[in-house]
Amino acid sequence: MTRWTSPWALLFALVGASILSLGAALFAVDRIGENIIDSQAQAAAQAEQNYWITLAREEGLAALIDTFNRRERIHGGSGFRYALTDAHGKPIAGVPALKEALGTQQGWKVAVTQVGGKRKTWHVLVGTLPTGQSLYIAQDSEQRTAFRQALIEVSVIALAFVTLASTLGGVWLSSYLLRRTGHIGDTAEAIAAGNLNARVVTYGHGDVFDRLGDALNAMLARIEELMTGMRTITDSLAHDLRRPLAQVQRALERAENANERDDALAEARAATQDALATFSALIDVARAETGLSAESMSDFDVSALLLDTAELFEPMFEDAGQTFKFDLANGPMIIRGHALLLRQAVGNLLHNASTYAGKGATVTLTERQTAVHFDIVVADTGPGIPEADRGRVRERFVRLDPARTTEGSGLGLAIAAACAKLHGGSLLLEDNHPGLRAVLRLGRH
Amino acid sequence: MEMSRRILLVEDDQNTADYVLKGLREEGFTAEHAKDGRDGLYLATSSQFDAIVMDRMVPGMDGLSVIKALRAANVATPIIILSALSHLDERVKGLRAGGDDYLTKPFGYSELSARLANLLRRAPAAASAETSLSCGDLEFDLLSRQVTRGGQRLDLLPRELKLLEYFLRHKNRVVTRTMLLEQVWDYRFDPHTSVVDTHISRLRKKIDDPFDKPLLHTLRGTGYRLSETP
Repeated sequence: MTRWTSPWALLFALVGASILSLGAALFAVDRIGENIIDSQAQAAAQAEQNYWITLAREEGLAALIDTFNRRERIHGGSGFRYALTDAHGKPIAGVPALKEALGTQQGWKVAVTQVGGKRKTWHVLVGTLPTGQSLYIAQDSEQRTAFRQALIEVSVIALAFVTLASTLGGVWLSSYLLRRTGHIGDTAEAIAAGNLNARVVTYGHGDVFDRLGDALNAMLARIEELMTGMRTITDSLAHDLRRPLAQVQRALERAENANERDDALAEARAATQDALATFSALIDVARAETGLSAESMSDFDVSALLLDTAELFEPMFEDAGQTFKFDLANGPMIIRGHALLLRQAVGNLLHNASTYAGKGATVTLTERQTAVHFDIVVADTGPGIPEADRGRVRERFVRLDPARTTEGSGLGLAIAAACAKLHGGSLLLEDNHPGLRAVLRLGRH
Repeated sequence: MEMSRRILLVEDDQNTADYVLKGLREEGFTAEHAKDGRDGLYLATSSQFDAIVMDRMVPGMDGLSVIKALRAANVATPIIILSALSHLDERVKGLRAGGDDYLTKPFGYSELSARLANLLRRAPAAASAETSLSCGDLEFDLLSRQVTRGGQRLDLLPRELKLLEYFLRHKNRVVTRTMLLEQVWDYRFDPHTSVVDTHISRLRKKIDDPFDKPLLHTLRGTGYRLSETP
């Protein structure tokens, strides 16, 4: 789990930061709350003071003293408390201890009293009556403290809930991210370790990880396909080159015998040529597939090319007991392409038709053009190719004859397909009802 | 052969060079050898050769650059390019650079010899005003496209006429299957050389079979030759 260290550290840092900000938030709430309460209390005390001063002026000092004493008697422990002293500071009414703590200086003050061993904190507004007495309007700080505590408690609960919720959300989100990226990482490791079948798990939610996973899986599938292709090619190459080499070896043994020498040498020569031709064809396919051959493109008359190629293969069809027809345009038809490769591709299609369509079959070579394509069509009435095999016969070295009794390298259709690809088209293999119809489709640029 | 023909071989690989030089000298050519591109260019421009056999990749100066330089200097000597690069594009490039023929390594000396003879003959026979070609009692009227043998008219298909014309223009010389594929059909794909045999056997059926003396001879392992004597 060492590779998750960094994300966890990040998580702890986040939790620490949220605790700090929680503390800061509480402190701010406390300070602001205190300020609000204090200014409200001061304003209320001021209003009370104005009221008592007015009362004293209109109804006399005695009425004020009377009211204060009555208030002290029925005091329920909440609200303001009062005290009054004469001009010399002698208590006249109310809570006497306040004067001890404060003196007669006017203003909003904090006082601490010891009454009966009980310590009390007060917020007091000290004022003076027109007749010289001092008026104390006090609020017991216990009430304020209780209110502040309630405020803090509520804030703590709310902030703790928010912090807990966001921490849980963060942990869930991080572990989700870690799990999803972990799948991708595990897959990459498995691939690196050689297991090309490994795939990223996707959940079909269509989220960004599913899309990433699907894209990676598509890439992996393509790589695996290419690797399998490479393996098949290597295997087939080894297999196909053993045959001519074994033939050469046999021929050389026969050549020891003077009577057979000429025949044997001819056989060895033919086998060597076979092997060399296989290599040339492989190189041509590879170059055409990668588009390197594009530099050799030129403008040429494709009708003349098809006519030449048709003429070249015509006797082969006659020898195979087949009927060969070609229906080509009368005038020249200029296209841009790789003439040599195209000739080879068409030759391969004709050669395949004459080899596989069987005796009595009819083979036709036609051309057709649309706005975007130029098609060269070789159709036969032979046995055709089962639909399931039509895709793979276009690959290198794929031959449908498992015993490989017929001649050929298995590269013919691969060259045709690569040629079509180089020309911006594709090789289509279709059912001719009966037989095979091979369409060499070239793009017209 | 009249005066000994001079051939320049530009080739850095000693084995190939020895093999080719031996073959050339046995055939009676005077062969000169250069091991790199610069020497090859120097020799080719400083003295007269009848043909040049040029390896595509030689040290000093690339074969194609030498050919371009020679052509730029108006040296018209026929050139055969030898190359280990077998693909189609290399052939196109070689011929575009000014080469006259292109032969892929590895090759048999007989193939090189046939192509060389073809090039050496091509140079002086620039006269294209001929109206007929012949070999023994076989006559090809180029204007009417009629073929007769011993005065008897032969009925040949257009594709057979094309092949016969090529043989007549290369009379008494070895013509290989790949030369036929390349030069008659502009086709370069070795596995189909057997297709050439089917054409030859058809042509032979018409020009040789009804007559006592065969003209179209098969040379084992090499190719064919049209001549009065086998």
